[in-house]
Amino acid sequence: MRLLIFIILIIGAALLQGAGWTLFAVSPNFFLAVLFIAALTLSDFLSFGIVALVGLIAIRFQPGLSWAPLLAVGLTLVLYWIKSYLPWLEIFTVVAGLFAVTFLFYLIFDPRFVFQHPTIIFLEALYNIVIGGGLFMLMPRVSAKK
Amino acid sequence: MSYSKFFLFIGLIAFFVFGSNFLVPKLPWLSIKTKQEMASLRQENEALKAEVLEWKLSAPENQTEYKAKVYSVYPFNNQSELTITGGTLQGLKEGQPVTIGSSVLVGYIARTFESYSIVKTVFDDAWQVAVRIGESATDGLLVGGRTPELTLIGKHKTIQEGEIVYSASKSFPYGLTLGKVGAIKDSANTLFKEAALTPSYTLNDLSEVTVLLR
Repeated sequence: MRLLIFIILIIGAALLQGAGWTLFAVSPNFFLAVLFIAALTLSDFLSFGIVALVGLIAIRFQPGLSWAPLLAVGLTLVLYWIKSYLPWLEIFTVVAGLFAVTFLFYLIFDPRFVFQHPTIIFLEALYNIVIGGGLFMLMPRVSAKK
Repeated sequence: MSYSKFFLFIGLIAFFVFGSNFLVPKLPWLSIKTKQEMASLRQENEALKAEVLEWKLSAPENQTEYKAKVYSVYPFNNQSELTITGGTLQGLKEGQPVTIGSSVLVGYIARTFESYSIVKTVFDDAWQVAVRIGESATDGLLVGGRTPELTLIGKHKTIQEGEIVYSASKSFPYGLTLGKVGAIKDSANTLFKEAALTPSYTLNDLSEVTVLLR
C-alpha cells in the first residue's frame, strides 16, 4: 500500500517539477522531497529502488542523460543507508535532513549557484521542508489504515 | 531464296515497320490509354520537379529560420534552460538566437546534440546582453536571472516604465525585443539607474520557438 502511494506521489512530483511551478520565482524540489520521505519511511530497499526508478523515468526532461535527478536519487540513497544510525526518526530529522540535502544537492551539482544565490536555496529548502514535513506527518496515518 | 519468299519477307518487315503507324491510330482504346499514361507521367514528373525544388529551397543552407518545439523546461532552480527539438542534423549551431515569432528574443543555443539542443534563456544567471531602451535608444545592460534586470543605465538618461527593451549586441540581430521596462530604481548613492525587465512571456507557456539560423 505504502509503495503504491509513493509511486503515485513520485509521478505527481515529477510532473509538478516539469510544470515549472514557482512561488516568489523559486520552485520547490518536489522530486527530492518525496524521495527523501520515501527513503526515510520505506523499510525495504526494493520498494525504495522501485520508487526511485519510477521517479527517474517520470522526471526525464531531456532526451539525453541528466545528472540532477540521478544526484537526488544518490543523496536519498545515502539517507536510506544511514537512517538506522540516526538517533531519532522524527520531524526534526525531516527538517534538518531536507535542509542539508537541498544544500548538498546544489553544492555537488552547481557549487557556484550556492555562493551566488544562497537565499534561493534557503527558500527552496523551506518549501521542501513544508512538502516533506507534510508527507511525513501523513504517512503514519496511511500505514495505520493498512 | 525464291522471289516469292523474298517479297514475303520484305513485305512482313514493311508491315511491322510502317503498318503499325497506320494500325495504331485505328485502335482508339490503345491510343487513349497511352496518351493518358503519358499525361500521367508528365504530371508526375512535374510534381517531382516541384518537390525537388522545394527540398532545395528548404535545405539547411537555404533556411533562415527553424521552427522548433519546446521539449521541456529545466526543472531545478540553478539554471534556466529549454530543451528544444532540432540539433546538428537540422543545421542548428551553438550561439544561434532563439526567438518567439522571429522578433522576441528568448535566448541562445548553448549546446547542440544530433536531434535536440539546449537553450540558455534570459532567465539564466549566466546571461548578459547589451540592450537599448525605448525610442530614445538609451543604452543599458541586461543581466539575466529569475527576475532579469536592466543595469548600467546612465543617471541623466530618462526611461519610463513600459518602454520596449531591445537587443543591441553583436551576438544577436539588432532590435529583437526582450520585454518592457518594469520598476525603476534610482537612488542618490548609485552611479547608474537600474530597472526590472518584464518579459512578455513565461518559459512554461512556450511550446514552439524559432531559431534564427543566420
